[in-house]
Amino acid sequence: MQLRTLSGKNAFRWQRISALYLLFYAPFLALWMTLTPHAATTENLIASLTTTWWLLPNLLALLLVITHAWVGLRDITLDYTPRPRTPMWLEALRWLLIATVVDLALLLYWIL
Amino acid sequence: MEFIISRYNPETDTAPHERHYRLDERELGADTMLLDALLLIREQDPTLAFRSSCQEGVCGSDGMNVNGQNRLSCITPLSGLKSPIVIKPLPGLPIIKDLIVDMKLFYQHYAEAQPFLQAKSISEAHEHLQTPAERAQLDGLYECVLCACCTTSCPSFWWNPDQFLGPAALMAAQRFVIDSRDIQKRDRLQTLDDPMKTFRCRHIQNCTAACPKGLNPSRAIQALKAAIAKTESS
Repeated sequence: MQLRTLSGKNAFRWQRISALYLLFYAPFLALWMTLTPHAATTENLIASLTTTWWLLPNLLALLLVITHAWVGLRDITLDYTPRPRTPMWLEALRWLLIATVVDLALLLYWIL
Repeated sequence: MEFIISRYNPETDTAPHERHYRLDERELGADTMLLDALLLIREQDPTLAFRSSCQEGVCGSDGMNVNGQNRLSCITPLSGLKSPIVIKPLPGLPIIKDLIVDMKLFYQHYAEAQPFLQAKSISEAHEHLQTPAERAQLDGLYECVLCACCTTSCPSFWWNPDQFLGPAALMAAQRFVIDSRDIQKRDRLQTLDDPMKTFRCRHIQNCTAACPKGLNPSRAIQALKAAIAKTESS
């Protein structure tokens, strides 16, 4: 992944889209957990969050959290890493993203 | 009143150092500007170097860091500053001597923003007309005097001075992007769609706090980024 292929526009768009979704999702989730006593334990919470009608918005939130974090980490990498090593750190970040997505996919497969 | 001024002569010094000066309060009136004080100090020490041209906040040549804030010395009232007044050159640019910095990089970035109108060829019968509403959109953007107070107070510029264009250049870019007479909007936005040139701005707001003309470069960059995000990829 070369610096020139990183479009500022796309990263900016995804950061905005993810932030907007999470802006509504996070308070809704917090409210739902407060009003749902049976979600008090982790097992019950996971079971509740993976019910059919909750699964899609939750998965979407998870992917958007990862996207948002990736854009932030990419920005930190571009700002702070020594210039000659920036492409190497960006490549490492890309593999971290791939590993995270694969790991989460396996985890979800195991849960579901 | 005490002044602590950063001094640096590349011919004799290895690093900038501070020198203390004192001015008699009786010499300073209620409406004395910082530049007037610097001129008095230079009478004490003729080796002190700083830029100043119009002396009324129009040319933007006397930008400097005063008590931690970038300001134009000619429009900074002395009465509003806490003593001792610590004066340093604008941060983030190479020092030529004392309070004079090398503005080459700043001007390069400004030129890169293509700060000139690219309109249809001029007709002798018609000027490039605008409605009052179209003209009003330029308010708050065209008044920049290129003093570099904003750009040199920007941490994003400190981190990537050679690649990030900085608030002044980006505000100039936005000024022409929204100009109804300009026909290169799409090309301008595509050129600025770059992770380093434009999107290093984190909206820290130092630029807006530092602008001696009361402009809001951060808001201009926000609008510019939104315009870039709306353009289709070529």
